[in-house]
Amino acid sequence: MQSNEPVVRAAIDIGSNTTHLVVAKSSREQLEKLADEVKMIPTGTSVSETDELSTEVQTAVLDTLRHYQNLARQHGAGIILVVATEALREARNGEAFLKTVEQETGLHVELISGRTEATLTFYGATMGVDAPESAAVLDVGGGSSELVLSQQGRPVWLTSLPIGSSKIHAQYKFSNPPSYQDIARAGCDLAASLQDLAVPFLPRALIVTGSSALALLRIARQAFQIGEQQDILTRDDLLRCEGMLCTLSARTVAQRYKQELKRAFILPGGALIIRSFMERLQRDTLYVSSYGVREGLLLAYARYGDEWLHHPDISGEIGPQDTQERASQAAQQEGPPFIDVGRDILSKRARRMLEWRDKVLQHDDIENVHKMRVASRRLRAAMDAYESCCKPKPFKRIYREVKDLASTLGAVRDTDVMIEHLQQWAEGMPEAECGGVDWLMERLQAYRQEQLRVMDEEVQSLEGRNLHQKIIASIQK
Amino acid sequence: MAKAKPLTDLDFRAPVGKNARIIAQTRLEELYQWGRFVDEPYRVKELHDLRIAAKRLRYTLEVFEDYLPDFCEEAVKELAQFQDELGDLHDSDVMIALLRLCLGMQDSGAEYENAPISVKPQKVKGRTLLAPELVAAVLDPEHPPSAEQRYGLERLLLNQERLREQQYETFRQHWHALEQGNFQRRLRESLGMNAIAL
Repeated sequence: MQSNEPVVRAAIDIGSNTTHLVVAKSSREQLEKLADEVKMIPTGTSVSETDELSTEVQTAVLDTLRHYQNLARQHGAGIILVVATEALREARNGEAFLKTVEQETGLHVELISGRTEATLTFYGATMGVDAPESAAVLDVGGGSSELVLSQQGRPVWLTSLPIGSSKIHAQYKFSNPPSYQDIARAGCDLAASLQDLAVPFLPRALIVTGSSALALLRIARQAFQIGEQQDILTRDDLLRCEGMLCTLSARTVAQRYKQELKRAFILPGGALIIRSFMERLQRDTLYVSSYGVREGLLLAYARYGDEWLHHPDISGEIGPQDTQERASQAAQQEGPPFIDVGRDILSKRARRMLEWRDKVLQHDDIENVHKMRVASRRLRAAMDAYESCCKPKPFKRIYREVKDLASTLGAVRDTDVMIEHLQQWAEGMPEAECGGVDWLMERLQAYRQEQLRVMDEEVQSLEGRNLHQKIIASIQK
Repeated sequence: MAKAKPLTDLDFRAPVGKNARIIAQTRLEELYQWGRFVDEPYRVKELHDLRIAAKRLRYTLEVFEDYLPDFCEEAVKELAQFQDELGDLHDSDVMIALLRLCLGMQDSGAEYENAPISVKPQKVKGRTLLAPELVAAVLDPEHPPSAEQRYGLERLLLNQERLREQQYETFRQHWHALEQGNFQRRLRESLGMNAIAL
């Protein structure tokens, strides 16, 4: 474990839309930012068009990295951590380029998986946030979106999807501004893709990070007079942003809301993705975090040092890793054959019901009747589930026996409940009213005695009826 | 009382987890079939059927708890609470029906107008809110309530009806609170069902 003294470090991520630097004094739980710079470099667009990083993009990234190195050193950063994400994962010449970066600058770039990216984003975005018991962190990038679900502050499920603001813009060839049809087409496809996303639960809070989210928050603050201190956007805010982005050209948006022109072009895609996720996760509000993968990277290094990438908390060992492991986990959860389990379940449930026989016949606690009745219902629920595995006629006969037993128990139990309630009423009633309650209780006691006699006959006869054997025998071999 | 939908298409050689989900899905559909009566306080029979459906779903999730997703455990707790709330409601409905019969009220419902005044019990197909034997025992002409006792029964009926309103409201609010918390959707998703079309 690293020392918790704050140390100046720098983190750079080479993403699909931007190459972004953060320099901060970092400790295991906190960051104090000293510099934060971002440069829009469309690595994602280059890869979408040609499957490679163009020479122009490579030069832009290298120049930016050299500038960031200088800036980091000026602030006293001892270590500069660099990661690359979706676009370089997809680029045919991605790995070769990263070797060039190392040769030219001395910077080692980790080409991280989508899962690692998602985990780092989670830790960054939730820093200092008092998230509820279950939360989601969504990072919408240019080429991919990462979604992490957490419970009690720990990620429990994550996924990386090849859906990003630049990708949407390129794939659907949005016009400038996008038309209603552009948004509707892309929106429908997004909704359909996200519908298949098997999230294990719906979170109580949604935290969104990434440049698109931050840009939309700034626009909403300026355009809709949302308070400067407020970091929350509602679904209505997003819809209004989308409406505006579909009305104004990218140039107008860039000028009016002080955005880079390249950002303004792809913002409609970013807004659509965020709204689609909100609808999928059934959230009406989201919290925008200005922290993301870089901050998560600094925290990870502060916690785990040079081995941060291989630490289980970071290497993404959360949920299914790949198809084979997913299949293996699914198979384990699927369990043995249904019918084999059925013999065991029916046998146990039948025994549990019959175990109450002697206690019911003792009449010393009315709760025993209730417990036997509940056990008979549980047995019948299991029999309902296994009806298809049983021989029809024997099954129907034994089912009827269990049901009749439950009826006789029920007649006594229901009367006991009524008498109990009347006794409770009587305690609080004025004397003039008690006569009616007493009369009804007397009638019910008389009825109960008769039903008790019927129940006793039924329960006593269980001994010779081999209910358990009959249930097991009704199951098909 | 509505019968459980039979599950006749299960492949009993399939893994238990797969079939468990199919069975739970069926019971869940049954629950929400009756769930449409939640906002109708005097649908006594339908609310009783909702209670039975909640019990069946709960017991199904318990039977297969080792092979179902974790959310099902949380769902069992909510279903148990529904059972208790609807159970209290049902107990009140039974008591109210019985008191009305005792007092000879006209609005006890069609099925109670045929309840026997004579001692001899009758066989009734299906299940009624009050067992005919119970009605016969309580309405024994040998032991009618006196005027003073009738007064007490009337006061009891009034109190029971008020209590019933509170019990109904408790249940109804719980149901809607869960809906707002996406309970149905979460359970459907954990069982591998498609999203609900609204």
